[in-house]
Amino acid sequence: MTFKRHGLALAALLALAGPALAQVRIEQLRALNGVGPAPASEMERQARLDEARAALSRGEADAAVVPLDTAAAMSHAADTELLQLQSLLQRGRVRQALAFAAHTAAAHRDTPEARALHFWLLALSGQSAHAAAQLAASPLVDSAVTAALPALDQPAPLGAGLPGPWPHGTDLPAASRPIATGLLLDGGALALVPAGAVRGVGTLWLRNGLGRASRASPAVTDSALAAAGLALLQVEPALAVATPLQRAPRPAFAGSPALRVATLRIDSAAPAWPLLQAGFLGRMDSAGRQGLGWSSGATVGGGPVFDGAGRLVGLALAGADGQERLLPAALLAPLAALPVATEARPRTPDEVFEAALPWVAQVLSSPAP
Amino acid sequence: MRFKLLPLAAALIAAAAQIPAQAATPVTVKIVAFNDYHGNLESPGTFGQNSGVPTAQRPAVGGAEYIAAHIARMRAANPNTIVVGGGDLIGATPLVSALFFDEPAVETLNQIGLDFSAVGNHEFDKGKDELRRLQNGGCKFTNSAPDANSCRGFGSSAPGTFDGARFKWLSANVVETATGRTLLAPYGIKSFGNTKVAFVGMTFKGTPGVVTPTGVAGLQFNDEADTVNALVPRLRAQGIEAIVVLLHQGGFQNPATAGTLNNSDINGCLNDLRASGTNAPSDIAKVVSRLDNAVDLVISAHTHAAYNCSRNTTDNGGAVRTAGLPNKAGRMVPVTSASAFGRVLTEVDLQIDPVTRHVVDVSPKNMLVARNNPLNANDPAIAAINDWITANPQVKNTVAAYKSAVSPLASQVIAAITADMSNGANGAGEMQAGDLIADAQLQATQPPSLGGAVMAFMNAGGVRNPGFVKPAAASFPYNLTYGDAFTVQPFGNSLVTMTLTAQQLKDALEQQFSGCMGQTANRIMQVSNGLKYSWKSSAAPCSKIVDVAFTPTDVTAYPPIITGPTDNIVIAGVVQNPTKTYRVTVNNFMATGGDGFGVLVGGTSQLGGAQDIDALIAYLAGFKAPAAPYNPANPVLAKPRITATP
Repeated sequence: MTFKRHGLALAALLALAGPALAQVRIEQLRALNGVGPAPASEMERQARLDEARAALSRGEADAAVVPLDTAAAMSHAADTELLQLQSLLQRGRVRQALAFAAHTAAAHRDTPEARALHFWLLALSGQSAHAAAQLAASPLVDSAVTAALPALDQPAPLGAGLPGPWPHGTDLPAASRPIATGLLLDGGALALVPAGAVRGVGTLWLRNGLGRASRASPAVTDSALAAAGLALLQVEPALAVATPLQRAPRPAFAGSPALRVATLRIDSAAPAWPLLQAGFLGRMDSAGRQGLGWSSGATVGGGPVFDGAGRLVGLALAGADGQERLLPAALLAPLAALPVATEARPRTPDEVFEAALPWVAQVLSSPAP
Repeated sequence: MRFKLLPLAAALIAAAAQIPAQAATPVTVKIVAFNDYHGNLESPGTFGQNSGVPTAQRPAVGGAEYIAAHIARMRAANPNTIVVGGGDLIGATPLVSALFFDEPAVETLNQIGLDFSAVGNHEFDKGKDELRRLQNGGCKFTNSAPDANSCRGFGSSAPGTFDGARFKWLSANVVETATGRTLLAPYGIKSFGNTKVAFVGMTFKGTPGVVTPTGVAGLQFNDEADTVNALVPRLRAQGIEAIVVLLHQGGFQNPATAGTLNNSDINGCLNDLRASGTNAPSDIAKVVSRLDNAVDLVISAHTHAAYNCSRNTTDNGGAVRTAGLPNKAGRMVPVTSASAFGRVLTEVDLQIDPVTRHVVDVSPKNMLVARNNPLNANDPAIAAINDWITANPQVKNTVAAYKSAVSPLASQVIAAITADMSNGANGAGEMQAGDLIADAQLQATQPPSLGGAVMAFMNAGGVRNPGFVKPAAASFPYNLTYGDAFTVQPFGNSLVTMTLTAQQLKDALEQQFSGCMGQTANRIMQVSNGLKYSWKSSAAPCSKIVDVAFTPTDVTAYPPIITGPTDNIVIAGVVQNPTKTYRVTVNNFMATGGDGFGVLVGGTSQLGGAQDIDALIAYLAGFKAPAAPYNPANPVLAKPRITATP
């Protein structure tokens, strides 16, 4: 039992640590637990996990499925399941990941990383109250999630070390930090961002909610967009998005439920999933901007706002008074041109979060040397 | 006579003795098994027949309604069907089940038609008392009060209830140390005519080592094989020779030589579940090797692996052989496991000799709980499954209801109130809750661009029980949640603003009372701030409205602002200016003649507006801290709005 517990914990850490030699890992496990040579099947399992890690690092999550299923059929182990979760999340299957994370967290109680990931995903996808209750019932020691969960509604930056998507695509300097939320357009070749956040900033990167990063540079921006306080960025290479973004046919009524997805304000260059906030829209002001019934919390602000049916209704943007309001999609040419979804079936927050993940990007910059 | 008969009888007996004895037709019983459901009401994703199937060719699998549909198909093939589980059906569950204390998992399993299940280690996650509650039913209490997330009842007999498991959890080897009795029933028996099959359920002995100590306090976990073997004489004494063990313990398929092909086919039993290289036996094999020969089939679980060690074993998807795990007599016993999360079902056809009651054949097959066929979009088998779900939407509806209820919006505070506003009407028909709703609907449609309404009517039947009231244990000012508001306005109606003449207004008010213009009951509408009217109960139908006075009031501000002089629309039953028009807001139900308000169908210049619940939320937002709470007794609300005279 001791071996199993220690082994699971270390294996889980290694699952998140990136590619390495399977043999080295097993020897580390063996040395830690003072047991004999690894069974041959464990060697094989670790080789499958390495295969999966390599696929994830290339951004080829589909290629990770078979080796991970093979590993899962060899042992019910936390390190396999943590990688399966990363595979699901890189494929944008948040709801399946949430369900599976619940299992991994509870079935591998000796692996705090599993619980941390589950609580964090719950909190980010709109279930912060349930995540907090779970955390209280099952505390995490020495986990960044313990500090970050109650701070999600505070404006201070969150610390490093939080769970995040598997990084792939363009490498970023360690000093880069998220400065804004971008909404990808034109199949991921452009991004709409708050102009104030990127004005005068040298090098920019964008990283979507699936963990893929690209370089970005300012594009010529329509004057109406600029007047609204927005800028367009060119993304190279494009952060391709397979599913279409659709908007609501009309502005949202006051009092209707709305969901905003925004980049976390975080003191780290590491990939991070965005935060979904749920609330109610307020009334329109004379400029056609609508009140938002929630604060920015631990986000850099901005970000797309969706109605209860998961349709884009606009962008959140801070005004001169620092208050964020909704810029209705109908007022912004690139958003008004999006296809209209007439179906108004209510969506659950995790469904909206899942749909938004490929479209919402961290905008990162690096301080000048 | 007697003399003559005797030779005849002797001849008949002799003839009968020469007829060869015919074997009785075996009773065919179908057992459908799954394990480690872990409350996966929704599909856990795609899964392949084996790990060699390319990702793109794997069907989506699982989901409670698809499990139900596939089992219904099997049941249709053989009415002698019994559905069993291998344990871990609850615990370690997704939010949609966990938030509601796994009542959704139990309710969907009820609807799927589960009969018996072993108790897995995760059944003890919340302790034995909670397991008993899930077995027996009843609401969950938190801090001595009913928990709001318990007894939603979407899959139980009524809202506000939890039926408990209609299936039996079996725990033959789990004993309460205080009483010496098993925590739950040790076994279940199913009769098919004169043939009985016993199902013995158990978790693995090492369960206390993998669950929270408080979850298993006061329980003793006995040896699995010893427990079964001790039960065999008891079962035989009841005339039972067909014994199935549901055991929450398992193994994995491994190749004999590490590195050689192992595609973990769901019907494989590679290397008889032994470890590669060392050939060390699996945990499940160790138990089976000590089982009494009376056990005919072992349905295992726990490892989330799929395997089928039987006469239908197909290693690596192609190597067909007869397999099984040896019992203590050396006989190969069929042993199965069905992966996890509702991905796979094990379909076992059992042949039982009705005379000897012995099992004469066991034929298990694992099959995917497929939701689609990536290789054939028009697969008729999948179409039949989908048709069944369409015709039997009960499970799907239960899942959808819980998905909806899990919304984090439900607990968000939208306003504070200083007093209860029930949906109970006073003698005149006015409700405190109805006044608030009518004001909210007027506010949402009062701006010219949103309708330019000057008054709003709300049908009384749309103000649902209990109105805006605090729970008994709470105090005022009470923070009203979105869930509270949604309870009162659950219909999802939208607002419609229309133009009515003064005469139509009077007619609509008359149509509230039984006997007027086809109205079948008194249905007194709730009216917004600024409108007041009186009615005479003893007057004849269509002549009850006495006075109607309208004072233009801007309710988009608070306190509301009177914006013009009072307009006496009706005085002593006489409409003063019948052709004068007013912009009036109602909901779409009323606008289309609902509740018998046919007059409203004649409204002109109709403009659709917000959802009723959205209007309510927007209005109440003005009473959320730090703003002052809503006080229904505030004189600025201009009550009473409706008065009745004898």
